[in-house]
Amino acid sequence: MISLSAARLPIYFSARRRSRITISVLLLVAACTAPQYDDQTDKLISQLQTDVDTGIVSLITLDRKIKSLSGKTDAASQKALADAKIKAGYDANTSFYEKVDVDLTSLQTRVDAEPSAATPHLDAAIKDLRDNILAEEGSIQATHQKVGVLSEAYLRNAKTLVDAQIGILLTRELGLKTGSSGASSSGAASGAAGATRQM
Amino acid sequence: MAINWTTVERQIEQAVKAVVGGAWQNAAAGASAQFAALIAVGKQIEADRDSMQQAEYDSLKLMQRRALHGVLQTSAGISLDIAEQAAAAAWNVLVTAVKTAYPAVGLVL
Repeated sequence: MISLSAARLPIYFSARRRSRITISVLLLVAACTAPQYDDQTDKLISQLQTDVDTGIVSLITLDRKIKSLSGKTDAASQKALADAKIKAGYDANTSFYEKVDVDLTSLQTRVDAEPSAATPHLDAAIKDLRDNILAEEGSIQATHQKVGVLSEAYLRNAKTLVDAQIGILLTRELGLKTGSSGASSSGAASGAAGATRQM
Repeated sequence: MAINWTTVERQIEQAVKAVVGGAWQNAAAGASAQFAALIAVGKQIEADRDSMQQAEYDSLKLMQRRALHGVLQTSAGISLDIAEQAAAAAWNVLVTAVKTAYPAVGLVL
């Protein structure tokens, strides 16, 4: 086994230079390290999926309610319709996007805290997920802001795509746990068909 | 005319394979999961083609492209350019299937 102690580097390197070499070597070793199963990462991915699905299903329920109340003329239905539209609107759901933002940030931080050969791939996968849910053009959040009330048809499709992306992360982590092929160092994206749930 | 989604899925795979070439072997597992999601989206678009707004459709188009090119990049180390071309090819197969079956579809596909 190679010792990486800075003190053992040749004396003709300055202390600072030796420290830099040591840090560089440690980072290189970390980057080459095979990814390990991490219970906390597993939980964070599951939490993300729960929060995303809960938010989307809640919006689907509201859109159904809006559809069922549309066309009814009695005062109670009109009031319920107005309430449902407010609840389904973007402004009433900013907390959902904030929660998902926090989930994604926590996951990213956890993944980056223990760098391995898979970290760049995981970072990219998390970025793609973030781009699809939050803020970026064409994301669920941006579309919600644009159209006001999202349709059930759209939400179901968006859920399918996002669940598949989260499923890939989850399948990879579970692969690390069981030692299956999904745990390869570059396998941020191994099979997730089973993790793609339809409503 | 209903769309044969089994055929469409096969065509999507062929279109992506044609773009990514030899890297397909490494990408197959992750990409297949995204193809399944893409087919599910295609079926929903077929069923609800008149109940989505253009902005919603545009969003799904971008989302699936990001999801697929993300998988291709991360699982097979395919470059961004090629991954985006592959994702566009996959989407084009789906759009062609919907347009062929429903020429009067209201969305700008």
